[in-house]
Amino acid sequence: MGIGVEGLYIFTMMIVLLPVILGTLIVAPVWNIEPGMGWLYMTTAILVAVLGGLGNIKGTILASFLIGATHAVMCFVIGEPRFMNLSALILVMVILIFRPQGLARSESLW
Amino acid sequence: MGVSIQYILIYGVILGSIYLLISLGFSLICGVLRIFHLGYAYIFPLTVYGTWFFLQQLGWDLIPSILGMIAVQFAIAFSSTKAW
Repeated sequence: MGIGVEGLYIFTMMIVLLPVILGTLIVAPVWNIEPGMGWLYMTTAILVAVLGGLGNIKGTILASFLIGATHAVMCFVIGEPRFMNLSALILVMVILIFRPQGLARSESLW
Repeated sequence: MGVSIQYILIYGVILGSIYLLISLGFSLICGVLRIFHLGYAYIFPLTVYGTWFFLQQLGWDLIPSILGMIAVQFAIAFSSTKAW
């Protein structure tokens, strides 16, 4: 009786795959494909989710466009595409010093 | 400033949308299930290599191969989450 917890876990794990598959199939013809491509995407996803507050959807939307703008500025204005990930990491570290729960309020576990 | 403003706007929105799609999954798992899913990186090569397998080896069209890959992904996600 009550809510089936195990069914909820399975359902959430399946629902999570849909935007990921869409995003990967969009960039697959343009960006490179190698067996080790998952590491770069996963670290970027963790960085964006941590910046926007873990578990908060509005914060993740805001943080993804912020990091996308940082990458674009680093690549085109300053002209050094080698430092894209480093600049995003420094931005996240500076923001986490002044607001450790992320941009939006994260969930109450941590 | 070597380039005009429209480069930054258009590339910022494109990159931001791609990063939003791939990080919604991680944020959803971390917020709802409270699992810091460090095994999240298996999804990306499994997507592309699974679609390529159905396209090249079995010779299907594009949409049936994408559906076959989604079925394989759901099977792996189901069998790794269910507590046998």
